[in-house]
Amino acid sequence: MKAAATFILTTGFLLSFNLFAQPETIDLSTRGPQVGETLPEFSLPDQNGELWTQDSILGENGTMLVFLRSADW
Amino acid sequence: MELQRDVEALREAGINLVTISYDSQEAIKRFSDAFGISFTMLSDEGSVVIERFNLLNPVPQWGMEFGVDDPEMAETFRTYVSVTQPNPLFVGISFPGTFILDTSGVVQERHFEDFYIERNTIASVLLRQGEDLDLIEAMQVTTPQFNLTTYTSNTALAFGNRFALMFDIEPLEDMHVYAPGADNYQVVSLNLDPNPYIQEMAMDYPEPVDYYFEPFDETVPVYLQPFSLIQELVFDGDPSTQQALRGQESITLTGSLEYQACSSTFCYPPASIPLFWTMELRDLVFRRPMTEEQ
Repeated sequence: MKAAATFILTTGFLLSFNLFAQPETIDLSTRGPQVGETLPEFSLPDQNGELWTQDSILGENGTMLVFLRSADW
Repeated sequence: MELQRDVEALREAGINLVTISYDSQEAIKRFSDAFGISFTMLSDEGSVVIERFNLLNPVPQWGMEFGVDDPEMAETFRTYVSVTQPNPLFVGISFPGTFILDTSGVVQERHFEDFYIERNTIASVLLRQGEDLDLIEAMQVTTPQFNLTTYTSNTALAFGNRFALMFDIEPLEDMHVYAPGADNYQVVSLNLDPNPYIQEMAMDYPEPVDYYFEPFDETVPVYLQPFSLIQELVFDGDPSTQQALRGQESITLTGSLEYQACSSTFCYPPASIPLFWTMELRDLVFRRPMTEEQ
């Protein structure tokens, strides 16, 4: 009986730990603007302090917008 | 830095290259100066815009809150953040995504990599965009039915790179090459020999045309005009792969192009062309500038 209770407690603990440990599954297909959509508005400074927006970044034949994890590490 | 190396090709194609990261403007300035960066690097300190794009990576925060003792959590952390331990430094990073925009800012393509150091090389994106890159050594093969030119999007590979094998095929006069959907024929396809460090993506086929083949009174999808096939591949970024290939200077992929082609009156049997591609190996594309280790 004691063993059974321990088992239930342990299982319950593991289950709850799993639930807490990973709150959601990562699905990159739902992340970021989709094909056919336009970008959200933004205004951000570049390395020289110049401000850029979703419109001013656009090149003559298009733009390659790359989200980096970090440039610093 | 790889992006910088290829930025001229993009510029000549009239394509702006812009990066966004959560680094402070000072950090980006330091990086930009250290590596001679000429493209636009935007600072989203505080990750407000990254969050607005729904690209904020929540896993670093999970790692801080829950630790990585749980195997599933450890795997998630390793996949989406780092092989190192949780660190407040990681909180606020974006998922590494690349968006190709047209001149109006509409998203034309999106590329995401699950593993954190897999990323598209600019060369492979340009190839997908149909830009010619005059920098790759190509292998040329002539068969009775067509001329084939094949080359890689990158002459050098870094661990985690996404790259492409390119096949330009020019059918000779009156020849057609069988396309996906031609069930009774050998559809043109790549048979890449297995390589433990290379992951194959789906082959990118252009739209075929319907062709009426009189001898058999049938209509089949074929390529009659010059066409290109793009096989995207991912070079494994796992630390164990980096360890296994330590000291190796190049990697060679081997395989064959399988196909069947016919004229309006005569049908050749299925055939196979053995091929190989060699790329140099180089270090990771991103290094920390001005750290003690260097």
